[in-house]
Amino acid sequence: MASNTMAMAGNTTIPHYDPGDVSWVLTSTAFVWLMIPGIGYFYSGMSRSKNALSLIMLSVISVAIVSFQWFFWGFSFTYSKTSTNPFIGDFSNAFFRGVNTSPSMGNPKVPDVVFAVYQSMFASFTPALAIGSVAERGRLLPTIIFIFIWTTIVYDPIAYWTWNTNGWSNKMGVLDFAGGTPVHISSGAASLAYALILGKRQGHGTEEFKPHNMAHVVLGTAFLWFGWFGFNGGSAVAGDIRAAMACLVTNLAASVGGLTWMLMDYRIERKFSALGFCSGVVVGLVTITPASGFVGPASAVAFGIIGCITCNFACNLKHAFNYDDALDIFAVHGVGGFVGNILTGIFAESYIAALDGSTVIAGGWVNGHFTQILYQLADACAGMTYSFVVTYSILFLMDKIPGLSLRVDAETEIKGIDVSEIGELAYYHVDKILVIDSKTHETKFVEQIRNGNNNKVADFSRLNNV
Amino acid sequence: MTYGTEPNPPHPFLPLSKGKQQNMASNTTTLPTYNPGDISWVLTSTAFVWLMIPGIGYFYSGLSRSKNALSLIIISVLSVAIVSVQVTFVPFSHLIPFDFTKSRCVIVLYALIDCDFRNTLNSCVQWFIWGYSLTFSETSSSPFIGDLTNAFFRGVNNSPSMGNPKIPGLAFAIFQSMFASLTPALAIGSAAERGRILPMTVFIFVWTTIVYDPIAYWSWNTNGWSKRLGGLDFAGGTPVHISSGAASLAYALILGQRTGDENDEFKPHNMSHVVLGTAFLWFGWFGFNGGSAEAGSISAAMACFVTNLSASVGGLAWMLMDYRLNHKFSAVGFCSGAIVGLVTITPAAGYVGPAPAIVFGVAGGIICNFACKLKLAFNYDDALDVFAVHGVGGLIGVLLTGVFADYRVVALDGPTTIAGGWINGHFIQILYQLADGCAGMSYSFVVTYIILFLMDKIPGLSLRVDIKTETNGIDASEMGESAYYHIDKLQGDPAVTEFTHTSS
Repeated sequence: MASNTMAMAGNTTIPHYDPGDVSWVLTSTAFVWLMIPGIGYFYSGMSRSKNALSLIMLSVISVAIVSFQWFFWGFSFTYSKTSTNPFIGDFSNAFFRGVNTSPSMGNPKVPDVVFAVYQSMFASFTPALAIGSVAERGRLLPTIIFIFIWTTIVYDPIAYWTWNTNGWSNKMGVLDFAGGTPVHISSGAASLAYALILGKRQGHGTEEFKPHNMAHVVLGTAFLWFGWFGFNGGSAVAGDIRAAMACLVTNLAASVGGLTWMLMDYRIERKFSALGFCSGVVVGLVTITPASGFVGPASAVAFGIIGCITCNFACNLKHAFNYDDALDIFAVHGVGGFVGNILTGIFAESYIAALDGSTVIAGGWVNGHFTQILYQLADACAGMTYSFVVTYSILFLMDKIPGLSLRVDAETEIKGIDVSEIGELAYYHVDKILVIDSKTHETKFVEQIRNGNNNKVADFSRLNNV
Repeated sequence: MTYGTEPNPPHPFLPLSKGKQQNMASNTTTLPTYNPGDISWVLTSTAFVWLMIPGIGYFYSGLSRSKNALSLIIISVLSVAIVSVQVTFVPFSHLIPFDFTKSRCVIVLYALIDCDFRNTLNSCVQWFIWGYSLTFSETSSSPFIGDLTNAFFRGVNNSPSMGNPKIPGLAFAIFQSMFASLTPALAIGSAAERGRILPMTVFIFVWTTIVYDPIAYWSWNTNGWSKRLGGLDFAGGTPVHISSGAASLAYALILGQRTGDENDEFKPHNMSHVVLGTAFLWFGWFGFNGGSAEAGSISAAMACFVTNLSASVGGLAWMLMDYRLNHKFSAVGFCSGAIVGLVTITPAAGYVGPAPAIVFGVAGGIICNFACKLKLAFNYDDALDVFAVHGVGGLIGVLLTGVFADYRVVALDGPTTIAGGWINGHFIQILYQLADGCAGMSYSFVVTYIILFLMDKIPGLSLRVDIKTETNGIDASEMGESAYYHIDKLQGDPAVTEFTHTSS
């Protein structure tokens, strides 16, 4: 730390950075930011309307909490340059001290400050993915505290292993371009742990849980797909042709994924399922994430197809093992991230990595480098196990602390999280049914409908249960 | 800025000897240098244009009835998926040491048999499969269509692109794939509420290949007849708007009228989504027009500015025109007018200055407002006024480009220059524009009509849903889902005779 301060004081020249590179990374920062409300709308649309607002809000709250945590010590734990151990960073950059104009660890073409704000979006995105599994039955306060603890103890180390030049996985030679392990595998495993601790929703197995707002699911998917150009393309941390290739393979994998899942659902239901298409798009995006800077377009097609087929079947795991993964986060992000990581070991091409003019990798199977897949497997398994075990431990301990119990009580669950914990609804405008009296043109709010014998035929006080 | 043309460029899809590592050092010295700012702006614009596609989906969805809402949102995103794959199949072809133009079989055979593991995967999905090659191949000598040398994105790499040598071919290809994805999403709006989804998806693939790719080739490929003639089309008046507008007219004519009383039933069900869609479109259009400069240049900045101005003026113009009839500030009117303004400025965005942009917006707003009455005059059901806005609007824009194109605006960037339009005294420009616009419109309309006519005859691809499906709504029947489960539908019970109220 002392040396950093001296460097700052004595540093009169700022290294030259190309505005184009900085510009692209800043643009990507905003794009990844938009992915977070995207996942919020996606999850919200898939749940029931009485819990809709909670899921949108949790995603945006995640940004708020992790942005602070990243400043506090998150960036330091993940990207400190002075740390020597292979598992976690030190405190040298806590409170963003020493985060200045030196070349960043991600790419020397952009300064630390830019890279730090960009990476803060990744850190914010990951817990937003994981907490989807609290849908409909988790208390908000423990979830918020969980986010802070989890991102410190789980996300930061895993990201350190993969992306810090001193991380064990990075030194071993793992290829993870934009976060298969730190983002998707870790959040998928965490969501599984959360789902197991919370238990099943009331009515699971008997009631049918349908998405209440498919328009929001599509909106969320649109934000995710749009933002993913920044997630993968921006991970080149430079405005170069490698970023262009990452954008291309991202788009292609998402497209193929959406079509594949939709076709897989079509063979069962004979309908073009929108939910299937959106899920497939997200799976395609997830699987291509670790590989986006290492593979070409043809391989991206394989990622989309293989990812979707695997994850579609993985959605049945919750039936086989009888847990309530309400929004299929483990199937999509955990399994999808795992599949993507493995496929990276197969399809990574040294030519693609070299498009930025400087990166040299040994490549994957297609380059004849067969051990790559073992590195990928090591990284993925380590990430998944660590995330699952530590998340489970965190939640187990939190549940024991008075005031931090994780699950809402039964009555709250029936009334809905929005009304009970937030005190607001997502949709005030749809619960009113207005009748206009044709004579007086007076509008009345209908609460009950009775037939001519004054027997109640419809009761709208139960509308919120959809 | 140096562009290396190495004799044997590293090619991603050529076989390498197994186990041999490429010599990275030699590769690094032969990569051309590009300004990251240019690439960055093009990639940003790529994402912006991507967002326009769900934007048109929400716009169309909000304008239709709620029982069909989800289908219109999903079809727009589906269009991205299908065309992204098609684009990669037939796209760009630049540096390929083998001559594959002779035989398509050789391509497939090569891909399947001559193999490194990864090449076998090259043998298959429109822009990826062949779209880019048909539109932007640099080796094609025909004035009408490209060849297949860039199919499967072979040879699409870091050599300078056809659009602008400042950016590599790959960045140009992914940017253009968004244009190709947007166009059919515009066109199929006219199939709203009565078109089956499966034929629509097949149509998207076929139409992009046979209609969009040629028309884009004419306007944007250096060998295209319209480009050689001197037609000016900055961001796609003809390839995108005129072609999709004409196609939507053909689709509407083939499908026929919707069932139902048009005065009562066909109202927008969700104005909030209409505005959301308009917002995505307007936002994304900065990338559509600004990005078509294909560099982070003054031309891009001017394009962004005139785009915004034309949209604003168009929205106000249409809204005022509706005001004189209803004395109300119509939101649908404003949104439609904004889109018309965006459409008309599209071919001209990099060629005109701010003052003419106002003319574009006003002309578009007024003329297209009247054009909406064409469907009443000629008695066809253009449900979402796609032809009036995109077809007619595109034509207006293309013609006005011939009037207002200004070489002084183009000269802001330096080297490129054009002859200009009427305001430069170059009066013949409008004839080039007329040729380009009319050719695009007639080709698109005729070929689309033929495609749909033939598809309708094929069993399994009949275009229109049956009456029961139409009454129940496309969402429930074809997708098995609804957009809004949380809004309970009041199933009328005939025994209900009175309502009681508890509060208002």
